[in-house]
Order: sequence, then C-alpha cells, then structure tokens
Amino acid sequence: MNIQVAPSLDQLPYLKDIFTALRRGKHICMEDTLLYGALEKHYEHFKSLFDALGLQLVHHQRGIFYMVDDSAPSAAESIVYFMAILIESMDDRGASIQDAIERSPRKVFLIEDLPHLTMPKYQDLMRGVLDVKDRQGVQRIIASMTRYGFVEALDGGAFRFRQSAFRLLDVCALAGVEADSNARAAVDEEAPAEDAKDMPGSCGMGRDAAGVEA
Amino acid sequence: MRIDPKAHFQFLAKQIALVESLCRRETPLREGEVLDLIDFYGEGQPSIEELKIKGILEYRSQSDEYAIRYSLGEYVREMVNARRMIGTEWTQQQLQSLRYLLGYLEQMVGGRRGSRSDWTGFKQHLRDLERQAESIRSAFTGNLEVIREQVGEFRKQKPGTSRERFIWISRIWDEHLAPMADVFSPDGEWEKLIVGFEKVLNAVNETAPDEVQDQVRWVSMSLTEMVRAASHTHLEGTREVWPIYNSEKRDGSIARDASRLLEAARKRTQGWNNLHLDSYFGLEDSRGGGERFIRPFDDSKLAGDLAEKLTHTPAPLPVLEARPKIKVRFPLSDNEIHAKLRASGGRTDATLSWMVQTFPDASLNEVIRAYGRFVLEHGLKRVSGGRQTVKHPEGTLTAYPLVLELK
Repeated sequence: MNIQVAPSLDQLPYLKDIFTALRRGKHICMEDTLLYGALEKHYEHFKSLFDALGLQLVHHQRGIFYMVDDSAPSAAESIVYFMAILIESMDDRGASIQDAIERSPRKVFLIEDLPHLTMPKYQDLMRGVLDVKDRQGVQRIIASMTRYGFVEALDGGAFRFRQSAFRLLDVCALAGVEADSNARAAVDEEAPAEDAKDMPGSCGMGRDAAGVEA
Repeated sequence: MRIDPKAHFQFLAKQIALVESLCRRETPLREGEVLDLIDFYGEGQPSIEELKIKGILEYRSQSDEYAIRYSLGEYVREMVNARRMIGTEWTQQQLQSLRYLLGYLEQMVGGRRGSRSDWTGFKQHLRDLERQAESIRSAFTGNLEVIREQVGEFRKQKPGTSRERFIWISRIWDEHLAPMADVFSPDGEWEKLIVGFEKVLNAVNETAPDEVQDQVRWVSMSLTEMVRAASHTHLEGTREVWPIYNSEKRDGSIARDASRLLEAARKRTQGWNNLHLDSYFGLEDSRGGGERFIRPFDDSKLAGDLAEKLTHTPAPLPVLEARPKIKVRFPLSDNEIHAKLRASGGRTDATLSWMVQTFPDASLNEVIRAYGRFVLEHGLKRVSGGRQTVKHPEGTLTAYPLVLELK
C-alpha cells in the first residue's frame, strides 16, 4: 500500500481536535478558522491518515470538510424535513436560502418565527412525519444541526446557518429527486390497470367490469 | 410643408410614446390603425393632421396609408435601441445589413459592379457602412447601461419566488446574452464580417484616391469602435447577469426539490422512512459510534498506532514461484501385481492387460521387467486358451495363456 505520509504526525496541526470533531460528524468550514486552515493546507496528509484508518474524509466544493459513513445519523430525517420546510416557506416569501447561508451578515432565525409550528400546512407534517409537536421538538432538531456544524446556535433559541449548510441543500435536493421519482413510480404502477380499463376494445378487466365491486 | 424645428422637437418630446409605437410598425398604416395608436399612446389626443404638420407622419396617396417620416424613424429607432435590451432579432438584422454592405463593397472592389475608376458609389456605401457601424456601437453601449440598470433594480427588489426570479433573469440571459455568445465567438458571424471588411478596405487603400483613403480610415475606426463596444457589452453583461442567473437557477432547483419532498411526505406516497438517506447523508453519528476512537486517542496510544500504521511499510510478500505442472506418476507396485495374480488364479494373460491399464505411466520396459520378474520367480505352466494382444502406447504385447504357481 502506498501511503503519502507526513514527515511526522506532529506536523499535522490540530490533529486531535480535527479528528475528534470529524468523528463526531461535525462539518468543518471556513468559520472554524484554525481547523479549516489546517485541513485545507494538509488535506492530502489528513486524507491519507484517515484512509489508513478506514475513514473517508470529504472536501466539499463549497469549502466544507466532513467524514462520511455507511449510515445516516438517527437525526438525519428530521434535519432533512426541517430544512425542506424552511426552504419552501422562505421561497414562498421571496427569500433565498442560499442568501441566508452565504450573505454577510447572516440571517438570524428566531425559533418563534419558524414556520414549522406556526403554519398549519407544516404543523401537520411536523406532527405526522417527525412526531414533533412543540418548541422543544424543534429545538432538538436545531441542536442536532448545531452538533453537525450546519448551524450556529445563538442565545434564546435563535440560530444562523454556517457555510456547511450547503451540504444540507445537496442532501435535500437528492432526497427531493428520490421522493419525486418514487412518487412517479407509484403512479406508474397504478396506471396500467386504469389504462386497460379505458382502452378501446379492451376486454373489460377493470374492477367495475369484472363485477367485483358491484 | 415647412416644419418648424423647435415646434417639431417639442411635439416629439411630448408624443414620444406615440412616435415609438409608430416606429415599431414595419409597414405603413391605415387611418384607423393610426387612430388606434393615438388613442392608446397619444398625449392629449393629437389629430392625424397635427402629426403631419409637426413632421411626424407622411401621407402616401398612392396607397392611402400613413408612415412615419423615414429620417425621423431612423433617428428615433436609434434612440430607442440605445435604451433597450438588444435581442437576437435586432442583432441578426444588423448582421444582415452589414453582410449586404460587405457583399456590395466586395463586388465593387472586384470590378463586378460599377466602374473601377468611379468611386462615387463606393463612397456612398462607405458612408452607409460608417453610419451603420455607429448605430450598432451606440445601441450596444446603451444596452450595457440598460442591463446594469435592470440588474441593479433586481438586486434592490427581487421579484417574488425563486421561480419568478428565475423567469425574470432568464429573460435577460436567454433572450439577450446567451444567443450573442455564438455571434461573438472567435469563428462566429461577427468575426467573419469584420475580417471581410478589413480585406476589402485594405484592397481599396492601395488604389483609391486620397479622399477615399481618408474615408476608409474613418470607416475602419468606426468598425473598430463598433466591435469594441459590442464585445465589451457582451462581456460585461455576461459578468453582471451570469452569476445571478446561476444563483437563481440553483435557488429554484433547491426550492423545487424541497417542495417535492414535502409533497411526497404529505401524500404518504413516500413514507419518510423510505428515504435512502444512508446513500447520500452518511455521517459519523455525533452521539453514537463516533466516540469509539476518541478515548484511546486521548492517551496517545492511538497516536502511536497511527504512527506505526503510517510509517510501516509491510515487507513484500514472498514471491511464490508458480508450481510446475507435475504429472503424478503411479509407480508399478509388485504387491498390487501379486495380489492381482492371486485374485486371477495366477493367469498371466489377464494380469498383463490389467497392468497396462492400471499403471498407464509405466513404460513398456517397466511393464515387461515387472512381468518378467514374476514369471522368472514363480514356476508356470501352460493352460488352454488363445493368446491376447495387449496395446501399450509404446508397442504391442502378446500375452500367452500361462498360470503362475504362486508361492
């Protein structure tokens, strides 16, 4: 095995901090000045080190470092749906989620202003899909996002996005495409029976024609 | 009809919306169409007669139609072009006019049209070319200002949802800037025309009288300015619009995907547990297994392990030579032969045949020697029966019907 080795592990700055953060699933971005700087400067060495340990370090094009694993964390679904609701509601109000992540100064989100529990169309989703009924439930999701480095928690339950949240947008996009294709597939599966029933000259195999439901 | 310039321009300023609408019409208008435009755009409902008196409209008695005065139309169109977005259609029209002028000049230079010594027609076309180049330059320069104004307006107050914003910015990008990329590409129509003009003007400069050469220089300068303005507008316009276009496209895509996800969750056609997040949201779990390396790392044991792992170069594995293909050889076994002889009652003919079959690797000599040893060691007697022919790869053997007196 050909491993590109740093002259010494001592020369990998903040190794312990970086290792600890990444192993906890944290996304390191430019806001983590020291850790990000060390990772960016010695990326190949860190990558070789983690490769040797069987860990996969990723450098996202938006300037994010994180470690991938075979399975999504337990909070993954909550985070994805939380983000999807936020994106849709912001878009309805003519606001851009990218601006919220990227613009300086960053937009601050107050928990009481979030649409998740205040807008009826999202309340149902939060209850039915995520089993989140109250402010504490929303705070738990935000706490997870904070641990993974997607948001920065502020006083009073407020938060703002970090650059790392761009990875969340990628995840939401993939989940949206998957959900859409699954929905289409479900429709396609149902379609042939309807088609056959309505098809001119068909032999009447629809449920009504067969008399099953008559 | 004598037109008072001051009154003309005052009237023009007041009725500019009407005049612009008249300019947009490619063909002459009937009286009813003019009245419609007056109703819609006219300031204070001017009459057709007034439009004629102020030098705006001309009456064409042959066809009983009205048209904007030609010189005024050209002038207003140029003004309008300088403050509107230039589209593909307009650019293609300009390219077509330039193509026509180039073709005409090429024919004159090649002596295929007009007299080579008469430069009157040539000079007229140079004037047309200069005017055309100036008009295009002015339009492109104004166009960049319009693009910047619109982008500034967009940044100040973004219109609606990401979809609405994308439609808005797409209109500028798709209709005005993207199609120009082909026109301004290094081997595009624009470049071909400019090269064509350079050739013609250089050819003329060698033989033309001084006054024509002067005119050619002016035209060349106008063309250079035109090209510079057009390229600059396209480049700067692209710089202004492209990042917004991309960003809005991405915003739209993000919002659409989020809505799809939520819609699927609402319909329950996609149960939320069915999202395959493992495949694209695999992460170390901040509360779970992620801790397992942390403690040993603290006491530097892991550091030692890492160091060893990283610096240790495993010794090369011993090279195993490929084992030669060995044919397993079954040697003749006296014991087995003896047992066979006993089993067959000492009959040698059956035994010889058996030996050849049972020990296929034994050479003919080996078979004969082993067979001979038994025959010589034991007494034998003839019995009735025919001779047997036994085939061996190296020859044919004949077995006589003998019986050994085994000890």
